[in-house]
Amino acid sequence: MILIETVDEVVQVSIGAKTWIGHTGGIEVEEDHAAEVRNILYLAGQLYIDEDDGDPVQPPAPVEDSSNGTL
Amino acid sequence: MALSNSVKAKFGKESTWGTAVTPTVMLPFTTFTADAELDEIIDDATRGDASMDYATYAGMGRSNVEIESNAYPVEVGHFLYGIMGSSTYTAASSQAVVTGSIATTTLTVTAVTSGVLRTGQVLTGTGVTAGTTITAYISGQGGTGTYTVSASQTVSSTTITAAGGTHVIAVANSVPSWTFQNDDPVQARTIAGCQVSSFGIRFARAEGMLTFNAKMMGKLPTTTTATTIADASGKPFLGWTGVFTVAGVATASLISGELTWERSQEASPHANNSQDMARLDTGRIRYTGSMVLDAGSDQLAKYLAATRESVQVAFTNADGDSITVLSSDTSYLREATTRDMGANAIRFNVGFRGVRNTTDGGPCKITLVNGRSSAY
Repeated sequence: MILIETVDEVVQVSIGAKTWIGHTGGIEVEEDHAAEVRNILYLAGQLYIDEDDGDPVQPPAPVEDSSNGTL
Repeated sequence: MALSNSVKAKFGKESTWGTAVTPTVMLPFTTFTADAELDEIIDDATRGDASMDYATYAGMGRSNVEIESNAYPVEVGHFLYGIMGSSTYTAASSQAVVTGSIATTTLTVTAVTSGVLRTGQVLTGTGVTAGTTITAYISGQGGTGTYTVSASQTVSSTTITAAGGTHVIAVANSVPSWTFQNDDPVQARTIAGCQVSSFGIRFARAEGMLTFNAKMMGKLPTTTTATTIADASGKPFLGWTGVFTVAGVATASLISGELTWERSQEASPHANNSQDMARLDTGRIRYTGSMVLDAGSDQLAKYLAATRESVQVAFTNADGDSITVLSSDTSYLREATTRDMGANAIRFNVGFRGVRNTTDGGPCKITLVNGRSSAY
């Protein structure tokens, strides 16, 4: 599982049939779905980006569906 | 005689495509059709006489579900999520502040400081169990009265805050499916595996409410016992509340319009010794719109100049709910960018197409603020 940090607490994400329910620290997501969840969080303005990293903020690239559309 | 006024449309989100679930939502509708369809296989091989057809057989089947309704703030989100594929929920700011108490699962509201209570809202206040939501109206209709809440508890009279959610709906590769229940007095039937192939919102400033139309395909129907679900729809969005924003500038030119999402769909073509489909494949999404505008700005010039700009349409209701459809990169369509000089004021018929862009992650993005306190 991968922890994706979110801007707000208790964010929830649904993609297809699957739903991830976040907690105070963020959302824990299976590795296969992490890229797409990050993308959806970014679009919703909920992907936490540490500005101290010094990296410019770039939108995630379009995600290949590793589950072949059968989440 | 079975009267259609007793028919109810209900649905529930599936965990696995095609595996039926018990419906959880009742959707008020203006039209609702759920047609089963079997392909006809004809043996028309020549046998030495003039007859064409010698035998017919039932082929592969499917259900075509179509529903039209007013755009209720929570219910419309299911279909937008259904065709777009993803939703992100965050708690909205307070939508209502009331004075009330809770005994077992009944909330009694004696005074309203602000806002409106609705099903789905999360309640907070001194002594209120975390995560408690309003699940149904009893005597209350948004103000003073009684409501059913999700957790049994005892709370003395106190200030209670109710909050719904903000839902950002964006394009994803996979889409959800629902089990639809056609609860009619002749025979209730379940249709599993329904996925949205087309969704449209229509609005006119002078003609009442936003309405929507959704088309879905699902598996063949099976008989069932109807589920009892209370109507929990809120106040629909009204056409006159619309705000039309072009390139970041609000304009009062919008008269009427239609937003359309279409997503290709294909039933699995492989044989599996069953007439029912084994899979429903969903393809790419297209977002287009058409609007009638007062000719305050020269839309034709924009078409001729191949202008690309953002187009946003937003509506609100009396409860503070809102729906905002934003396409950050829009091109104008030739076939609909025309001037109509038959009315007292010159009008433009403007067509547009949402183009995939990184801001929206697709051709558009929708933000819903409503009483629902969980992701779709």
